[in-house]
Amino acid sequence: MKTINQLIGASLIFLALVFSISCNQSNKTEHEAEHEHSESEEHEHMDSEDHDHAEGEMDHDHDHEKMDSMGDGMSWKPEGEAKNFMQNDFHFIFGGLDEMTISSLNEEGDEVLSVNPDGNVSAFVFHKSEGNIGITASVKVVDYNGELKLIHHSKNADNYEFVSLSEKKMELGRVVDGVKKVFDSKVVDWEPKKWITLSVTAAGSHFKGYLNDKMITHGHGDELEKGYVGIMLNGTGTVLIKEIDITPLEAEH
Amino acid sequence: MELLPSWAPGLHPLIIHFPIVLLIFAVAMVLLDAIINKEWITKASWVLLLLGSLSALAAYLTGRQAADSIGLNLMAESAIGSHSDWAFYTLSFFFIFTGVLFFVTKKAKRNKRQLKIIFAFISLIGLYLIAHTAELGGRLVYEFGLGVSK
Repeated sequence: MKTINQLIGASLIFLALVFSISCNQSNKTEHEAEHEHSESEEHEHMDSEDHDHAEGEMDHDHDHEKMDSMGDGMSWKPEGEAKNFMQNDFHFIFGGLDEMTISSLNEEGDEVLSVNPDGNVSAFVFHKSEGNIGITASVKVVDYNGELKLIHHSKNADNYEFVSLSEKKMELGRVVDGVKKVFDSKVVDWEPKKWITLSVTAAGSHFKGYLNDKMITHGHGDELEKGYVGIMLNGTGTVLIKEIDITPLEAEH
Repeated sequence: MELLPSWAPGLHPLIIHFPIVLLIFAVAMVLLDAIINKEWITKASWVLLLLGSLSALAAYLTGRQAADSIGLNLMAESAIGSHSDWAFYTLSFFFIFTGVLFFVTKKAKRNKRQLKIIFAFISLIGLYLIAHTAELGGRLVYEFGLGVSK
């Protein structure tokens, strides 16, 4: 009899615990829904104010017309004279324009940047620092012998994170104080002379490299401070770049 | 009957509910044992914790596989990483908890009741870890639509 009473008591305590956790979660969900609703109303109001203000800014600043803003993200496409947009949109953390031949081409109706590096390492990055990030580049290599890297969290040539693609291999890793650490490396089968999308994501401690939207490499490491995002080339041949999309990723806990 | 239904993106959605249920019932048995203090409940809690931890390991590994098979999805990327991290914390907690609980309750000659009460309180941390990991997993499906046919 005593055991049964204890069993009943224990079951009631457990059920109360589960019920209180469940109620807490549903209250939190309702509260979040109300909060999102009021935020979205505020956001609509702010958008109409920002739009009027932004139009004035855009008339004034022609250099950034090609960089469409997707909220906090960015989509870069080459437009105009190659030397102009390379100087306006990027800065070099390794090498410089002297170490490559650049031009704007029209490829199947799209304007693309053509880069012919001279074999020395060169890296050009956007001006804005980013933290957790997703980067996708539409690229094509023609008779290219070397490495093509998407770099992020970069401070300088000795400190950056990367996904690199060479003829047979994709590597994912980072360079810290000049020392390279590879998180993951895979043999990949891909076709040069065809447009591909090379992507990398850095979300907290998770890093992934994608080829044509398919995950190839996956590694883990500490989260680094914000840094620049761009392209690093180490080889000879031709690299065509059609578009670079950058999407900041929200930190989740 | 196929081992893996055609609609399933992998094993993860098929097995994930086993560790959730097993570990919740394991925690319930640990709490019950602290109140009732019966040998059969102690052993039941060991079995449930062991089965729950092993199934959690299977869920974790299949979850890693599922995450790696998803194509590029920037919107969900951070959430995937977070769910994976919390799954690892939950897995680690229960493996350690199971091992320590088994060793301590088996070897202890005195104050067993008091030890069980302490473990009961500690097990509530596991309950929170399960709930939080499950919530993050639910978000991946119901907020980001991962694994859902379009």
